[in-house]
Amino acid sequence: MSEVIVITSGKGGVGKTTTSANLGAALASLGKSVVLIDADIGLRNLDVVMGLENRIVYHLVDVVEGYCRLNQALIKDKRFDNLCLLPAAQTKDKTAVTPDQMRQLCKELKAEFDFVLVDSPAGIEQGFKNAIAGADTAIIVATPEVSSVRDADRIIGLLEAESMPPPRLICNRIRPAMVRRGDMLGISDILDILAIELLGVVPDDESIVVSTNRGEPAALSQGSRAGVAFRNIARRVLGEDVPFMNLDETNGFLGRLKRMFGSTR
Amino acid sequence: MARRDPDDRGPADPGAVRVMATRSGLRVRLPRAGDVERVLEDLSRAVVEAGGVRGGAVTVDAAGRALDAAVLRRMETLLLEHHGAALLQVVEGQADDGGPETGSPGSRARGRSRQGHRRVRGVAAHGEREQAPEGPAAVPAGAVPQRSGASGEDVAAAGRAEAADVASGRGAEGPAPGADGAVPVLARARPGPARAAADGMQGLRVDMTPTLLVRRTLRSGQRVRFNGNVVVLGDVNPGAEIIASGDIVVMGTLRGVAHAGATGSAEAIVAAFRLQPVQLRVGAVIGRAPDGHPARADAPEVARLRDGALVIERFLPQGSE
Repeated sequence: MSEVIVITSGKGGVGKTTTSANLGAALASLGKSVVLIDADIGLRNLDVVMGLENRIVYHLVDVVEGYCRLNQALIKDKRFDNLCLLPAAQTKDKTAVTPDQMRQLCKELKAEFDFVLVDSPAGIEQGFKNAIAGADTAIIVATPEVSSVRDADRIIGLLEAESMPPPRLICNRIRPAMVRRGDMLGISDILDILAIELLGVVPDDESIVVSTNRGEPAALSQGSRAGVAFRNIARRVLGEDVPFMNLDETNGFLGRLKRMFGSTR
Repeated sequence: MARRDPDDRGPADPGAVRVMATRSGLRVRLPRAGDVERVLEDLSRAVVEAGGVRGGAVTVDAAGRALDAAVLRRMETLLLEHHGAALLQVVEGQADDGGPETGSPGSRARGRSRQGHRRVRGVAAHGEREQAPEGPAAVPAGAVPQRSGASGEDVAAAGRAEAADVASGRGAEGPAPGADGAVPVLARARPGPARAAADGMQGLRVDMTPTLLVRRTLRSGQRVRFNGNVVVLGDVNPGAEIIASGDIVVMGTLRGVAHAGATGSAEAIVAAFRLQPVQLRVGAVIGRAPDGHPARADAPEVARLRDGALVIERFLPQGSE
């Protein structure tokens, strides 16, 4: 049973592209065939995060305009044979594609892949409408900031209006220490407002910056805590019941020492 | 407003921008009167309504208007940044044929004499000739898939052992059979003395094809398509694209995508002060930068096809060595 999932947020810079890349890589590492669609036409990034920029010959707009066949534009990932990317055009803008064309495209890809992940652009205009057009379900990415939660709420409302099933939430860039001090919105604060199913919590992690710049999804590196979170999210997407990560867990000697002595912190 | 143009044909609306599609782009006729801002706005709208600029080049018929350098510059920027098109030429008055010139690329002399009565100024003073490059669509569909599995090793096998050290970025990844995409990896090679001497002889040819001079850095999302050579006085950043039927020369760092010989010429070259492209295409051949840490260029280099493979070599000026 294939599924088209759109990853969206309303607000920019909360980690939609990072989430798309990592969720795609994690699902692929679990043996599913996955295609990532970069729907951010004119501001393409997913190819860079995936480290596939240098392989782009044709793109999404070429496909919908009939310049090339769909499988000519699909770029095979360098790590997984069962992971593909359909890159966005960089020299066009969102109006180059219509929701109907996206619906058709998602339908074709759905027939060939287990998962079609659509990386939505920020905003609620045509790019967003294109991104959600062909989607069965949505994943909302929000960071623990009032503005991000506000935008996520708006997006949830728009998705309801499109009569899509209730979206699921990924809380990105949580900093447990700040939450404990009361300086940051906690997961429960966010869930109070948004009232949707929580799919995962991703801690703020420097390794994301490194992996994004290198074009290697963090979900594939063992040492990254964000990577572990994304792998857990992928398993939950597959229907597994995975407990949420203990965010208070600190790495290293001190953390182990604390646990050994039963420190509650 | 008196009509000064005796051979003015077409609908009599002197205030409108008129657009005509030609084989290599658009021909735009400006109104003889009207505020400059308004004209530029109308021009942009007319180009959009005409479905964009297919051939990548725009000829502007000033129709007797005085266009100063600042207006020309703005028009050039508008066309380049909003429509990805080059301002090919500005002609004054109505040309008697009005339409595109036909003829082979070699018929420059003939083309010239036909334009003799126009006063030509602006960016590049050349007629429209062969079919303009059609972007990625100009690459034969089979080109990439057929080269599936080819990688840096292939280039090294083409007779240049030193290519290996350039593709060394791949070493960190280790050999991953089948993990590569379909686009073959670019490799750098240093030509031996014999090869260098032969290069020197070849370089003596004089190139008379139209050349577009881009006096700016091309940023992500900006694209230049031109039926001829393109010279950029600036950098070409990642996400920017140059597609030319002839050669491409970048007087700066080339980090984006460049497609030389886009109409199929295997003789075309891409040269840059610092050649660090994400992807290069010459004729129907595509090459990409190696994964991992790409080799940093530290001197001017030139990419060309040798035995069907894209090779990057140090640029050797004429008469050196």
